[in-house]
Amino acid sequence: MSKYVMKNLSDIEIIESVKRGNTADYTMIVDRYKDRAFNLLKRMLKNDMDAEEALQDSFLKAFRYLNQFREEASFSTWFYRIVYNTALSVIASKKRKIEKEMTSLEDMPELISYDREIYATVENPKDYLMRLIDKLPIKNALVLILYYIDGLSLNEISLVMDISLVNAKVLLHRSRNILRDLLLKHNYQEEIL
Amino acid sequence: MNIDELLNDYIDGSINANKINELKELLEKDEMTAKKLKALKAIDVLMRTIDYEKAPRDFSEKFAAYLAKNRVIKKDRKDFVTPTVLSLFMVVMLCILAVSFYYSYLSINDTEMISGILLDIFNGVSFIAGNKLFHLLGASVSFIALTILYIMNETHRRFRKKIKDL
Repeated sequence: MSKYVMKNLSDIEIIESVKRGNTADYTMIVDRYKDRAFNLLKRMLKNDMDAEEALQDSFLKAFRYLNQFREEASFSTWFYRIVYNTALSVIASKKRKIEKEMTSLEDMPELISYDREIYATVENPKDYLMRLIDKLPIKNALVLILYYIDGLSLNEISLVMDISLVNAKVLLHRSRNILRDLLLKHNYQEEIL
Repeated sequence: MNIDELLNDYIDGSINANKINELKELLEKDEMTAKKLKALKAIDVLMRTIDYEKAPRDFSEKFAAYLAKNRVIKKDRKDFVTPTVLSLFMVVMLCILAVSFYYSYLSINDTEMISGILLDIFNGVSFIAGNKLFHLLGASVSFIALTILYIMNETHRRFRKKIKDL
């Protein structure tokens, strides 16, 4: 099959082919999702090595349970869910606590001191935002990454994180408001827009 | 609806015309609301420009090697049991037939009797071959047998798939 044809195949078509026994076609899925999944894992696990190991684990799990994938949902949502759960397992195995999500800045006063430090050292607003996101509790950071960087809808985010649609929306709004309040402290919005 | 929710819904593009008018009024009255909206817009614009952090370059190759090494890619196992059992059954049946023919031949000494039997068989076959009713009957029985075989095979296939998916 030519590279052009392969690139134009949908996820479902590739999966059907893998299920039929063309297991080598699974590399197309790996190529398609490795960067997005790695990005998510890196943000959750905060470590390159753990993220790579979890990435391999996630693709392996998806491969093993491919027969359980039902085509009513999109493959990306199903796979993101595997990635998310794998990351949570890694965190649990390292006995790291999964921080409770923030509702406002008052929930995490240390974020204000981090913010001062970050603001003093970054060169551009993009880095400032990403470094702030890295300091947020996992769920707050994740909802922003899934929504903006991965382009998932709120409905898909709710499926990946196993929360209700309303909770996904509330979490996104709260996380964005935390960043907004920090941005306002420095009047940074005037530089960005 | 509080102001923060209204602003966020506006950023997400999920508010109706009435709410937009409400927001416009708020923005005219309150400078802080306008600042908040600008900050949210800045976040929205900036976040959309952020790219993925890329996975290690050789990840795909490493993963393919890992799959091969750990033999995760299972080759489809061929089912040798069913054909073997069927072949054995056929061989046994043929042996029984051969033995029974051999002994019946031994018990028949008279060659005229053998000719008579062969003639009877020939007459029977000619009668069946020349009778349209037998043709119809044969075709119907074959059709019913094939349909039953197909249904049995399909049921079995679905059952196996169900077991595999568990």
